[in-house]
Amino acid sequence: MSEKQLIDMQKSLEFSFGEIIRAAVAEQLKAKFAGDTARFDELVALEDEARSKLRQARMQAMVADLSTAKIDALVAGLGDKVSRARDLLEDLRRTREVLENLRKAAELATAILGTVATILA
Amino acid sequence: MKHLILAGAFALPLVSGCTTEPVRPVIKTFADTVQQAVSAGNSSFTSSDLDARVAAVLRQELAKQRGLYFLDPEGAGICEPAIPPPGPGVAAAPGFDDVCTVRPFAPGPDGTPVAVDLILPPVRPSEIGPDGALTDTQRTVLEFNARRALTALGEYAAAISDLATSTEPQGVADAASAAVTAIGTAASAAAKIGGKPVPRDVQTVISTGSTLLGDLVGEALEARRYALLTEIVRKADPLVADLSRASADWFYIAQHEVLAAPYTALRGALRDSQPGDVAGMIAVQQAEAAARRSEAGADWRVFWQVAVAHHAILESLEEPADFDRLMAANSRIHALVKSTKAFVAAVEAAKE
Repeated sequence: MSEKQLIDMQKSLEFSFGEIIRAAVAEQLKAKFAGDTARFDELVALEDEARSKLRQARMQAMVADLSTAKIDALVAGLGDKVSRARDLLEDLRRTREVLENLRKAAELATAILGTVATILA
Repeated sequence: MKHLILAGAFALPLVSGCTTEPVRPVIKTFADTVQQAVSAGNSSFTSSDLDARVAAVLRQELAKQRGLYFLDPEGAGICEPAIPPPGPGVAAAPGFDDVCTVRPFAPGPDGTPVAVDLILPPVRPSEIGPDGALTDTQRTVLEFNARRALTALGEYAAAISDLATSTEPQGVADAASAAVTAIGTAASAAAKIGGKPVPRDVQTVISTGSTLLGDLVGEALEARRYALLTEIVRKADPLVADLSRASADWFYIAQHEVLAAPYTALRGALRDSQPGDVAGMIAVQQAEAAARRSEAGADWRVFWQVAVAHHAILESLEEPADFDRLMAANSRIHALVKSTKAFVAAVEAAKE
């Protein structure tokens, strides 16, 4: 079953159990005002059963979200983004090092040329 | 009116160029908060003995295969105590993993031992019982995956924060500027010795000043950083959403009985109430208030807000001149900060 099918099924179950619970509650309200305790209790049992099934369906959907295969793929995908961010910073650090070495080389050349100029003078 | 004044105050830096400057505080705060939430989540009461439980589940998996742990003949060393390597100098001292490899083995089809990689058993949705009850093994596997999800979110948040706040582009610009100045000075010195005039292009560099070049390099690097940051955040957004959802799912699973209790109490009060019964009305209202408080403080909301805040950051990055999007991102971040503070405080209180 694909992830989309699972999500669709979850939505459908949420809707179906939700409708059963809403209908049971509406009837409970009528039974309450009618003073029909037996019918009220019967409807409460129906509501509780629907809630139990709803919880089961919700938990099944969450278990699918936390499956090892899904987490493996997500962690690997995000790890790739982390690497890209780190790579850019490393590139920048290396570029700065190259430029600093270039500056040092130029300063050294200036110092040597100064010495040469003194000797020639 | 206040909105307009604020907009005016922020508009200039927002439209002055594609740099990470306008969104820097948002991302840094987001990253710091996500890391606090992840840290608190990982140290919450549910995770304290997770490694031991994972090891126990893996032992059970090995036992099911009639396997055992044994010294790996093809592994490192022979399981003798480590000694410093011979020769001059001080090399890195060997540790246990350099001298000994113990790993799981199971009998192959012909009975000969085969090295195996132990994996946690899958938790199939179809195996979940009524009311969503989980076995200890199922809880351990789901919690282990949730911890991986949390860790990945924390590492990602740190990476984009480092990228957004690094001073490296300015450092490169300064280094470029200094290098150009030094080269110009060297060229001048060489020209004097040779008795020739300083070449015109070198003169230009020296006369216009290396600062301009440094600024241009800085701008180019800022633009590159901004483009990469936006691309990373855009591509990561669905992954962050799914990992945040998975993390939120775990906290819901771990606490669903606690979260359900106030609702059960509320339904009880509703069912017990009778027409015209004032005491019943009070009981319902008190139960409703308790359920409302419990819902607002549910831990899973913290991790849900990570995804919401991240998406707001993406929208702000994609429209850097849009003040409303920046403010929306800030407000999502602040909501995350608020929830995370409460979550961290609750985790710390539980530990005391």
